[in-house]
Amino acid sequence: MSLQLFPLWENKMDIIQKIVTAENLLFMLKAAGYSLLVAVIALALGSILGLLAAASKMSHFKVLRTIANVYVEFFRGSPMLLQILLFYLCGPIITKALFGFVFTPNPYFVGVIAIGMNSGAYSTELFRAAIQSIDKGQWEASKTIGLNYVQTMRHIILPQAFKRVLPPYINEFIVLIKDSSLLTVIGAVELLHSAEILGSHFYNYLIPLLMATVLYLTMTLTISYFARKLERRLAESD
Amino acid sequence: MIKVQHVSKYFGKIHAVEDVSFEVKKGEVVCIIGPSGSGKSTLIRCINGLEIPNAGDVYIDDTKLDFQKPKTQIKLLTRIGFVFQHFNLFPHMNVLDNLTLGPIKAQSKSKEEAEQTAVALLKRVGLEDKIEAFPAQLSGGQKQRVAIARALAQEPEAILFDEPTSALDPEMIGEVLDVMQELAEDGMTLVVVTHEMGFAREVATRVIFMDNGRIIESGTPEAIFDRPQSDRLRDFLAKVIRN
Repeated sequence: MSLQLFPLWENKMDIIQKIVTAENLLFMLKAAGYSLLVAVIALALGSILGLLAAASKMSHFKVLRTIANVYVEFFRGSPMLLQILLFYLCGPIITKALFGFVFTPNPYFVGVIAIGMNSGAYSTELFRAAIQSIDKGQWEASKTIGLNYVQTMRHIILPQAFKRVLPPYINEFIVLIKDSSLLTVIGAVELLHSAEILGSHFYNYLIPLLMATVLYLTMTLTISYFARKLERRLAESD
Repeated sequence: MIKVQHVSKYFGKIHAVEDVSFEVKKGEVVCIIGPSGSGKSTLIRCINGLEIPNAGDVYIDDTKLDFQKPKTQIKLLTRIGFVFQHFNLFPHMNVLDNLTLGPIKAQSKSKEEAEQTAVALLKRVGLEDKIEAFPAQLSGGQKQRVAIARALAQEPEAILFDEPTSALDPEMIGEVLDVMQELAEDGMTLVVVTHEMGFAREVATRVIFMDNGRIIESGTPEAIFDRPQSDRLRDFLAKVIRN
């Protein structure tokens, strides 16, 4: 009965053998590599933006604080998918209006920028919260032994903030690996898109999507594992 | 050595310190006593720029502290050490690094020189075996002794203590007070905000009694403890000294 409801499953083993080939696996692994690469570059870009925006948010200058606030609120307050589409579809129009040139958007490049800027908004808050969570006695003690602001930040505050930011920061990395799948809508062949391609090619989505799931989980669980190890090592001095 | 003139500090509507003047000479041990919230801590925090007074001046060796330009004050302020109630050691550094960071970064000493001084100071406070330990591995009394050694490492001319034993378990108070008494006997200038009346009576050269942000009485320990002049001091002493 059930076999007739799902006629495509009749020759299950056949289909699996057809889809799970070395060639297709390699295709998906390569796509997984792109997903990882997009996540890594976006995280790096987001970290730089996040540090700058966090510093701006804590600055004495109102202009800097306002710019950082607008940046954070825009990217946190609207969907990432919208931002990706906006950058990809409207990027050339925007650059033409602002700077007078048009570019042909590359989905990977534009995707990394969009995801990176989005991630930066979240990193901003992570960094700011971690820095501000350090006891003010640490600032006072630094002052009494003669350290200036930059020395205090560098030797006392940031090393302690780093430890606190590490767990949510690694979480952000894992989120980005998953979010990189959104680039499928602008045609970047990352892991999810590669599964869709195989699915439509073999007219079977179950196996490619399961394969993609396994690959996503392999990446995210590996990162979690090493994160836990690193955390334990850093916790030794607490 | 330290001169405080007409210093006032307000937190919103609260007048924490109200027109206080006093002077500390080299080698003096001044204990500031008084009820909680009387402005004792705020007062000594004003001496080294942790609080900026709303009015009045602070002089260190006849140089006026310029509270508007904190960056130019760093050199002047490192001449005064500070020991906190809650130690404020740097938890991510071992004891040795806690002691050498300031001298190396702020006073441009060589690593060797700073480490030599640090080792000698740790011996002095009886913690030479804790050189590699992290603050979390120390007891409260040990932490406070490290904090005192850290203050000494900057080779200050005076050290301010902000209730150095108030966060300690009773059995650890003695070891910290002993170190402070040794400092006093070595001629270090100390200003100590404390609730340890025994220490004030025994070690202080002068005791200042504060209440409601003002200095009510000041004099030798005998004058303060045995011949209190004001009702407020008599009340306070009756409450804290129970025989």
